[in-house]
Amino acid sequence: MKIKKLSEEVVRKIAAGEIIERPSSVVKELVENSIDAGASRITVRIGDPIYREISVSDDGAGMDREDALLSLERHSTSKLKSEDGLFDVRTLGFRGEALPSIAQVSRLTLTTRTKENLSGTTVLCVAGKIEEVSEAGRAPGTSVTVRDLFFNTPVRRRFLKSRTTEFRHVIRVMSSYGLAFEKIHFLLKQDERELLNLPPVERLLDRVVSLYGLQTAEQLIAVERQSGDMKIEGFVGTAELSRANSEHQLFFVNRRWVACPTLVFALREAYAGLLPRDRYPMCILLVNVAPGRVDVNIHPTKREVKFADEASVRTFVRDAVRDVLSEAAGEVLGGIESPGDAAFEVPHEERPLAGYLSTQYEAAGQQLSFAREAHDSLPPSAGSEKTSEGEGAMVPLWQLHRAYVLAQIKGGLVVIDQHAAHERILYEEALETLSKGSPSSQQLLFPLLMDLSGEEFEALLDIEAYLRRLGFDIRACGKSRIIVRGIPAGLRGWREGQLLHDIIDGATGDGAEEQSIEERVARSFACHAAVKAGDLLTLEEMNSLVDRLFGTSMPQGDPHGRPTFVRIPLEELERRLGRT
Amino acid sequence: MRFTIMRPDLEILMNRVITVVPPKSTLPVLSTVLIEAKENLLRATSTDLDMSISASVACNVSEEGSVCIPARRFAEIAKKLPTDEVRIAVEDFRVKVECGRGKYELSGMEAVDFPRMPEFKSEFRFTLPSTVLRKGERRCLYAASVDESRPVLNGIFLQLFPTELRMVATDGHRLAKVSFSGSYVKEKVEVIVPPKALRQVVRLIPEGECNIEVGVSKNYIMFEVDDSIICSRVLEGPFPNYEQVIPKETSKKLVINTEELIDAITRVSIFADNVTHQVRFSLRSDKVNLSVSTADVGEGKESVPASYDGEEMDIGYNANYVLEILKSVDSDEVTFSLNTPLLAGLVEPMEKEKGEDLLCLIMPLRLTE
Repeated sequence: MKIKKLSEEVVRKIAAGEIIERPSSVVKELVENSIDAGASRITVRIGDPIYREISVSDDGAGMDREDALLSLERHSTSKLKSEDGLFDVRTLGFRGEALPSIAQVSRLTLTTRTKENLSGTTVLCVAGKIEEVSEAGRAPGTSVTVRDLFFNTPVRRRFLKSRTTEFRHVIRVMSSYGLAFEKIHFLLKQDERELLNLPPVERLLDRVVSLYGLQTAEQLIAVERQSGDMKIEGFVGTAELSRANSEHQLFFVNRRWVACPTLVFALREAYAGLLPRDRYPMCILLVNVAPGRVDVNIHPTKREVKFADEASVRTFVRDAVRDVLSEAAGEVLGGIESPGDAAFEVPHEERPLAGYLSTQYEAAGQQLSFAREAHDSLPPSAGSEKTSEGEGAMVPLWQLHRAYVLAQIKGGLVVIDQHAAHERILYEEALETLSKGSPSSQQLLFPLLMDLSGEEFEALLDIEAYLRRLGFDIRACGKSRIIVRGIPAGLRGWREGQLLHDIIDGATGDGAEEQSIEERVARSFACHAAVKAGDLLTLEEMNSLVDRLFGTSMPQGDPHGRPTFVRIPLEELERRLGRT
Repeated sequence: MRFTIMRPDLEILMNRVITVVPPKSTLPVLSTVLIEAKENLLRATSTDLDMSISASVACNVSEEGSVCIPARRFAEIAKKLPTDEVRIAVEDFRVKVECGRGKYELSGMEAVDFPRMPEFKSEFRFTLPSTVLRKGERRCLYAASVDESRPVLNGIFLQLFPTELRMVATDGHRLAKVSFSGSYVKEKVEVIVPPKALRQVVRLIPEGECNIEVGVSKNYIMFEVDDSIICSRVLEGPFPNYEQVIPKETSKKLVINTEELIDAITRVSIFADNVTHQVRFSLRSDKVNLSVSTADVGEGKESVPASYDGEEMDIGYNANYVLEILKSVDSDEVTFSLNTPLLAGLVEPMEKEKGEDLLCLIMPLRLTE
């Protein structure tokens, strides 16, 4: 085989592919251009399907005829004049690649006019070739309309995800820039449907309110700190506001929306000990450093950045966040002299014997006699009756460290991971409910109004029907607001709607695409509605957990493949205790 | 410190305060009881930081003083010693207990380490007959939420108006509201009381009832019952606006015998799903048919005579919720006032007790055909 030089056209398509991965990349690049052009109002319209049409128009500086033509050529930009400028980037764009790259893979119409010129220019460009240039009327500013995206790269189009996923990406891009530039009016429409309308506001907080709703905004803690040429501002969420994935963490460096491991790491460190490993705090953090101290030219999309001094940025961000968190925690704990112990507050007369026993044993060996007394007074029916019909000789004994259920079986002991076991149960029950559809829905005395972010709302539309089939009685009521009138009967951990946020996150997060929607909803529901380590279980609940676990098709593993229980045979105990 | 006390008195004193001592605590001093001997009065105080109980009893003090004593062991020995005079002496935090031929020694802790409740400054003071709190607890405590995600619902909403006292509890699925007529305050007082504090108050009411002095401050509530003082944090409001969820009009009315319904539900619920506890109520003009059908378990049916004036309707309920309501009512018959199978149902006793007005709300389970 001979090595051949690729044709110019192929090279250009490959380069375009680096920047324009999906429809939202088009939106990102064009919105950045509009921001760089000093626009005060940016309107984005998308079609359905989204690759049919994407148009971005602004009231920015605009271009004259000569510049308009030049802008469609690769590596032409007004933003960077020399090599030195590359190390002092103050605009969002600078590579001169965006427009030509988009043009390369679509039919693109550029209409633009400067304030000085009386008439504007329209350029039609198909697959990177300029087909037509004419005069056109337009208010000062620029509009770019991209039609038939990826029409000449069919493989790329085939890789587009579902309609709502692509919508969500666009909403996310717009929301993010909305947060970074609160004084610009952003409008996003899908044909005539308004997906996002962000009028200019004075403060970042107002933007946050219009994007996330008042309920969420009220639980955010403001961060603001300056040290030398480093500055951070924005908001972080309380631990209660934490989410099941990191999609709600937004970082900006010099107002550029970035994915930056350094910042993610700094945030994680700041929340160390406040959140379990699988929970992610919400954040909107805008970090400013001297333009010369950050390299944005790592990846063509400029989503990744590198700081000249990673360590000091990390420390700065970590300390700024940690300090406001501890201040906020101090406010909450203000009235309490010492950590209270909820363990002993046993609701009503139903005494969760198991938990009670374990705490007794933990307290000290000397209290064994006390615990034994309680154990003896165990109503004989409670333990034995139920198990006799279920798993033969399995008798739940007690809950260990509020995380494991210990049960005696013939010839030994099983240790059941309460979360994994419950997850397996709920997962199978959810799948069955979804296919058969017989949910029992507990109606709520106080219907719950919930504000969702635009992104969440779109995601919810995708899975709403399935949630309904699980027993959630959900209705939209106004833009990105829902009302919940009923929840699955016997549901645990509803947490006043927080569960719904988690289920949406889990069912729609990236990487869940390979599974069917039923599968995703069932998995997410099971994962988030299951009892957690730390939840106290009553004897009745433990019995039910054991019965139901061994009634599932695969009791030995949770839906992620982790084991749900381990068995310890008597022989092993005997061996370890030196009895053999 | 040195005092003598009759053994039964010591047992009574310890019984009053011991229930608040946390079974396990990170703070060792919380598993002790503060004992203070002064002017021939022995005072014992226990706390879990959310609430405290303090009780006193007469004794012979020969040397005043105070010390913290490990609560459980001290209560246990007070119960098991012979009925005789107990002599207690404390030197260098060694607590010496002598009674009959027995001699015991425990190590105590310094009294200053005992976490005391902040000094109580009441904004409101009033006196309630113990019957009101005893009945109120019985009527609505079960409806309070045990889910910690919305703390305000974990409490009993105590409202006093110039002509009535009201207690309300709800967990968002059911609600109980009881009003007692009576003039206990001049102006409105509202406070959300943790159930465990109310339970302790009721526990300490002596036979033959008594008057209970109540003080309310911004963050605390205090009850003086007999010789005991209970002081508890209150829950931070606001309590949800429960009035707006009480249906003003209902289209259907069911009258049914309380005991018969309790028995029938108890039986069919044995076959109910042990997560949802769902029972189907089929309302017919002269009876209510109860049925459950649970995969892998089986089926159960019961029929209870009743009088029902609406069109035939099937409605689902969590059996436990209905049972708890029915058991809180002291009336031979109850009425269910209903609208649709998805809306709140009103449950009320047929025979109201004098000066008392009880109303329960229950939200149905949506049934699927």
